[in-house]
Amino acid sequence: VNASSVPRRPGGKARVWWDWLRGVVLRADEVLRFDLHQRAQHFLLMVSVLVLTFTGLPEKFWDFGPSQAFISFLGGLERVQDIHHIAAYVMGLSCVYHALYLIRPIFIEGKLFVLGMIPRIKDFLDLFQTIRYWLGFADNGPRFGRYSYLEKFDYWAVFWGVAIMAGSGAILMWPELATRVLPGGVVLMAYAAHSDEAVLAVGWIFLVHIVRAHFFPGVFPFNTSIFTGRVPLHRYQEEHPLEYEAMLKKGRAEEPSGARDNPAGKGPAR
Amino acid sequence: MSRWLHRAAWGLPLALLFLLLISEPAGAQERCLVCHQLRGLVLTLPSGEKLPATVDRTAYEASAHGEVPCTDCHGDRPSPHPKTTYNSLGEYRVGLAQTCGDCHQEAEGAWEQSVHGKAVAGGQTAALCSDCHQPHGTVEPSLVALFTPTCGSCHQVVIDSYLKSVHGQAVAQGKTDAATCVDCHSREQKAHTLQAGREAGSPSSQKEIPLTCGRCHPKPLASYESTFHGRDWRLGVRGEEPTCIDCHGSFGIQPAHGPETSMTVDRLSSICGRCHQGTTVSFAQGWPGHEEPSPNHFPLAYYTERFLIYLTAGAMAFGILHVELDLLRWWVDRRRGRTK
Repeated sequence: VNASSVPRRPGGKARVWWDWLRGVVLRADEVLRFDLHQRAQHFLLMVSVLVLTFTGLPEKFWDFGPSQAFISFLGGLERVQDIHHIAAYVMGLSCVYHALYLIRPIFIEGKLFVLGMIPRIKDFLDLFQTIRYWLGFADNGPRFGRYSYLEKFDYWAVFWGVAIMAGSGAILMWPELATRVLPGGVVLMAYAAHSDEAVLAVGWIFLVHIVRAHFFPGVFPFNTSIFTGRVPLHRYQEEHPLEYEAMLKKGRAEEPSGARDNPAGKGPAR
Repeated sequence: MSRWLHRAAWGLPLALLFLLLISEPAGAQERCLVCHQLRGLVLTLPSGEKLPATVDRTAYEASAHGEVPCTDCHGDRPSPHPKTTYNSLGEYRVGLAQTCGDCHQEAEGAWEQSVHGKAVAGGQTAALCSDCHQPHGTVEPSLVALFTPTCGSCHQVVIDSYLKSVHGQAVAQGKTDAATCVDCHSREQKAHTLQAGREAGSPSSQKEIPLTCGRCHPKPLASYESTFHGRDWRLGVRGEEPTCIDCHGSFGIQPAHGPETSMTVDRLSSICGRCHQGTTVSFAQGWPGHEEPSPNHFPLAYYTERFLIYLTAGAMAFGILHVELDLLRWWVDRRRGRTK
């Protein structure tokens, strides 16, 4: 093969990796569910939440022996709080990133709410259908679009949780500043809120979110889609049939047996 | 010549009397006290310092040492006394502590570990046996009311402040269970094991103060531990986290709810401002004191907590139930041979 006759993109191996990361190149049997921005946001959020959890919980349950052992292992409360604050800034960064990501389509496509996270009436009907399915009144669960109602719930839980945690955390970090504009009672309120909302967030992440995302039939033991952005086509068909059909309808998806360069790789309809 | 005659006229009879008395087979006590009960006897040490050498016979005989012969402590010192081996009062005092330790070994051992004992060992002037106890006297300083004058003979400023405090006032009114010096400065509440606040492990050190105060004030201690300050104190390593005395004062401590001394917002605001730069009255209003939030006390925090508890219970119940029922239904479908 004459190398010069094959058009090659510049950049060599790094370019190949970059293209893979962005999802420009996809296999025929996979769909790009999350673009690089979404994956990067999730990664920043995940890392910061894990660090915040492991530095925050020992502070909340400081009376518990292992907490104190862990705190002194890290070098004392001051050090633990420093780490907690750095992780909080990383979480704030992921929020700013997401906010920019949300308003970007307004300028590009002139459209708002392109993520499809806004709850619709269908979501409530879907929940009703799920309950019927659980109880055996229906043979099938609901057919979901891009995001199921549980995934939307998950998203808004983070939205709410981050707002509460960051707001109360900022008050606790700068109580002198906060009480210049707010009544003094907010410090104690923030203390209670920060501590209690943390338990809700950690409980939800470890007992619901991780279990539902990873420890479920079909994906057990680890669901890689939020890290690679890719979902196998057959699973996409099962889990998000309406979205899949919409992709087919638009002519942007083909059967798995189809072309090597899957147009669906450009990402689901937005 | 008349000077010599003059001296002989007085001196010879005196010397004879003296010889007569000491030649008598009396106890050592009697022999020593012939001279040493005379008022104004002073030994001038080589350093120029003066050591009083007068003993009050009545007080001595009534004291715990009343039966102990002088020579047990002072050694056999034939008359005329040989020159003293101590050059200064300091040297003399250290020697004295060792002498007491010959009999009072336990007390001396404890004292050596105390802030006073360590200071003396380090060449500083600090309280030793004879500063609190009078070897020839009857004063027994372990009586609560006597701590203040005893300690105050060196720590005057501190005692002046203490006497005006809630503790000092209570002791003055005869309430002997109120805190005195030893209650906060000694783990065993004994004067021989006094420790300074700067000493690690001392009951008045930053790490121990809340526990020391908590011995008598358990409720404020419990609520303190539930606040940010208490938690920081427990887990902190800087040793700067605020404890009881940083807000309430130490020696001159006043009741928080007294008519003149109550913790008003204005007063609190200046107290908070010692550590928190740029505080306002609003900041001080946010301090819950030693009371948990309740519907009447900081209702905002109370109802926030209630709301979040219900929200957590509700959301977790929904989430876990959803996950479990999804799995259950999947399992049922599989059992029925439906691929999913």
